Amino acid sequence: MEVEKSTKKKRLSKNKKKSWRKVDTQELDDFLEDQRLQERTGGIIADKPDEALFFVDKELSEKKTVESKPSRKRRAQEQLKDIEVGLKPPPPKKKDKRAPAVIEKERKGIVSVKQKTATLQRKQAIKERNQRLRTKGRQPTAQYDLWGDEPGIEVGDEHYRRVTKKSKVKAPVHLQKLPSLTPAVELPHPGMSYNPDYEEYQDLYYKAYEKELQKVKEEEKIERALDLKFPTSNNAPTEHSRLQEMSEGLFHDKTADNSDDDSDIDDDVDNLSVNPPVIRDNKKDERKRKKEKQLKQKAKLAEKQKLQRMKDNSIYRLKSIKAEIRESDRIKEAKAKKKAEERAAELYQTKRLGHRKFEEPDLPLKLSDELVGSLRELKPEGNLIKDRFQSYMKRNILEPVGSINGKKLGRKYKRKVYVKKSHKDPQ
Amino acid sequence: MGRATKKDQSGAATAFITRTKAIRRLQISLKDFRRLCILKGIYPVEPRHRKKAGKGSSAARTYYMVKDIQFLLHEPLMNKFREFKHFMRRLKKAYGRNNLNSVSRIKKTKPKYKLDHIVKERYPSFIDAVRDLDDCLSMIFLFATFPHTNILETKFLLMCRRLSVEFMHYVISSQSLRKVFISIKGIYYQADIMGQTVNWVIPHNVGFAHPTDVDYKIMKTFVEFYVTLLGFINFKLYNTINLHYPPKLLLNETDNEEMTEPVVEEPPVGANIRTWKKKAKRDPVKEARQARFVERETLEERLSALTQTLKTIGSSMEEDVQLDHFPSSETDNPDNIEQAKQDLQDMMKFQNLFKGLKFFLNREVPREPLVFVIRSFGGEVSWHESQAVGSTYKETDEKITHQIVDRPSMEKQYISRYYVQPQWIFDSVNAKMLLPPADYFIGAVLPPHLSPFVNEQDGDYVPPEKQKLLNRQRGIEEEEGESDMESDDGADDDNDDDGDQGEDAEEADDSDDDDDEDDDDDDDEEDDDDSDEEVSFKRKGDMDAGPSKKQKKDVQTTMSVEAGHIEKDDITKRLQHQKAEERKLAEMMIPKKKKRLYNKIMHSRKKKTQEALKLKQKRHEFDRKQKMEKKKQSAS
Repeated sequence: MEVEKSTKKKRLSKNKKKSWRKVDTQELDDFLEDQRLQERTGGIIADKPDEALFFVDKELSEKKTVESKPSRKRRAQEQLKDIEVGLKPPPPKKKDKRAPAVIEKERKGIVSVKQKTATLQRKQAIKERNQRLRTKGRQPTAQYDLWGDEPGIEVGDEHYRRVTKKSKVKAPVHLQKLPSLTPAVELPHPGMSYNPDYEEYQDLYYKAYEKELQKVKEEEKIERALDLKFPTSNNAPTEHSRLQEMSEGLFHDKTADNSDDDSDIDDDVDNLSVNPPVIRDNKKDERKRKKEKQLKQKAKLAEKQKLQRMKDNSIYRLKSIKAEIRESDRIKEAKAKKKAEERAAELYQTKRLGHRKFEEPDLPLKLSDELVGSLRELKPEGNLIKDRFQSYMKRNILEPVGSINGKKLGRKYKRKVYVKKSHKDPQ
Repeated sequence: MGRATKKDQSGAATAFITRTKAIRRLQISLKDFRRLCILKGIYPVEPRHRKKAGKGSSAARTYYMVKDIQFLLHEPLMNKFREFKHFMRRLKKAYGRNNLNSVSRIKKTKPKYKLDHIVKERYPSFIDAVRDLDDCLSMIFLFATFPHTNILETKFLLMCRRLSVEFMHYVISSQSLRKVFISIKGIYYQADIMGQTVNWVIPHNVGFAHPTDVDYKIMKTFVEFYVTLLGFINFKLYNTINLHYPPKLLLNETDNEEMTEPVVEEPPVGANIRTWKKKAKRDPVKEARQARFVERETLEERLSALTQTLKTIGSSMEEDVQLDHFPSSETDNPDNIEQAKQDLQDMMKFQNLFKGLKFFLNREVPREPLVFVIRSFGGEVSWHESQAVGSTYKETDEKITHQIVDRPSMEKQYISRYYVQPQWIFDSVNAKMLLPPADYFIGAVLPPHLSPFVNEQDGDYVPPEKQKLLNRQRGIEEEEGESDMESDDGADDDNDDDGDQGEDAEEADDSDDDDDEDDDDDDDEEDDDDSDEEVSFKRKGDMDAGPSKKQKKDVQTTMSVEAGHIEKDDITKRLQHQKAEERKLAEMMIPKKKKRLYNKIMHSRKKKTQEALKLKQKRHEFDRKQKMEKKKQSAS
């Protein structure tokens, strides 16, 4: 009896007895039938031990490969081929064009010097080729002494050499100078040991703490200067709130009695002028103006004369002048010295090489509970490639790229992704 | 009247050029420009007056020197970059047309460039290059540990690895390693190469983390240059100590020349050459190639194991370095010669620190750094053969003196060897002597790993562990220290401890007072100090008196004749003594004018010692507390 199997499961509500009959019990029946069959024919297989079911095959069974007989057509074709080969004329014999003496020599097995050298050379060539092939991957990058006497390389621009007849382009002198005197590999703080001494670790810890503190302070300062001074529109003071704040503590009750008085006073104040009233006597007449002018000229002359006198008399204060000069020289020298020191210190500093500023990375530090004191269990702190990258920036070799602490480097904005209409899945 | 000067025609305005303008002038892309600058060693500069350089604009931009850019114009590498651009264009086109034939043809014509001339240009002499080795080594050792990505090709990384191994071999054969320091970041090495101190750092051997905020293309350009540089440096270094370059192993079982040579058969005489050739074609070329690869790989692996010595050119006889003999009467300072001799002796001793010792590494310890350090100081080392290629003897070898372990306990232990933790190796190297292994035994709590890069001035704070070490180096047996430690155990002995500290303080003061004594305008404290000194001396005298009396008694009771012994001439001690005397004399000769400055310096130094003393006391207190706590714990 075959029951039609539908690929889709029928959804039936089983709350009615009628629909119960529609449940497919085929699988169950099959299983039970199989079980019964096994019991009839010697017990259930799953319960039997392995030995009862399997045996070790110790005899070699030879596989008989059945050679397929070629088809009649194929056989006929092959026969034809044989005939064809038999019918073909043999290839023309090549005439040995060499001299009969040479042929004779070869037949007798006498090898000429030329042949001997040829075989030797061939051998050598094969050997060399093999050697070359073998060492292809591990050719050293250096095969000669770069700083030796023999000129191994031609330096410089070929065009330049041809035109100017000079051996090489002269490099600017300052290229030999290091961009920064900070060492390439900065020696680590002793507290960075994987198993540090107590005080040294404390010292490092304190340094890291101070650095962090400085950072927090700077952030707070910026907040005070910007965020708090320019609040958002929600928090910004309104005219009303400002008035309230200004008049804080002035009025105990909000009765409007006093406000009337205030307005009266305000009116008076508005009418008052700061400047004294102008009267007729204030106007200068010509006489007055002339007199003023004369007085001014006189004062100027007196000043000039005084200066002249001082100049004339300065010969008597040569000593003090000398002292003054010495003093100014001393100040200048001190300034120059200070400047020189600053310049010397500059050699160690990171310069401003781009629109970004270099930020000193955080100190690598493990908290005291992370320090295991065992090389096996050590989890390294920081990353060396990052360290190197930042070192280049610190030493003025690279302009600062990206942000140092945390942020990603690369594209400023995310690239947009489109799916072309022709590639879209029609659904 | 000269011609009126125009604005921005001279000075800073013409000396500097912005990056954008430089790129436009050179007619290359920004990417190529950056590469070129890194390879040629041309770095951006900061003009002193930004506004002048920017022709009125004071925006922070990247500036270059105009002369540098003009210099770049003549670089032959620029042409190569252009060629590469065209090559890429052709290749892309071929790919676009799906023309795979021409793709393979074009690929073969990939332009290659060499950086030899740039190395020579940037480092005109060899010693210049060695001086600048720090960066190069750190980067190459770092890249040698990287996995390959789409930017870093396998070939490139393998080259880095090879160069780093070659360099390590050089350091081993020339015994030029000096210091090692394990930090939480990586392992720092210091070597003395051709008289130059070279530091480099290698990462710990852990999984690779890919930081995203690093521009790998830029870093790769640096390494590209360093690969060429280190290649030439290795060549030269190997030549200076008569080693083959590329390196060859001294004991090479499969002599690479003969073993894998595919056997070339001669054509049988008289036979037709053509038929012979056909036969020869069937020769196992594939097999030969496979053998070649295997051989190459094993050689590289055995090289990178670092356990075997390298083959030298010519005689491999070790020469004894003989110091030139100068008759002491001819030189102006005979002490210098003695000092030099002493230094040489010390150095020889240091370089052969592990000579005669046989190490075995357990699998949990970092193999390469340890092998490198042990071999650099003349030791022999091996590991379990299943761990890596190149192990030379087995764990069962009875001659092994030290086994390096980093686990809390081990089941099977041999009595004939020490089981020490890896830190023993590094600390011994830094101390320049074999430290007693008892502190580093398996499962022991290790003493702190101190940095060898710190040189304390006199008066600075020295941690007690370091002080112990220094004493050991000077050959001072520290019974006193030990007795102190013992006395610390009792918590009741606080008073005694304080007394000791007080004495220490006074002693420190004493040394300073000696310097001050010649001074006329003394501090007011001087008198007090003096009185203190006397007291302390008295106390000391009392202390000394005890044993000396006993000795005297002994002498009285037993009268005997003792065999005389040769007085040892301790050169270092004598020289130290002499130096101190000279210093004192020099102090006396300081003119009055400079005396003030000198006193100031001494004063600051005194302050420093006081600070150090404070720290010392703090440490003492800390140690005591810890001990107490431990006792409490053990009691409960």
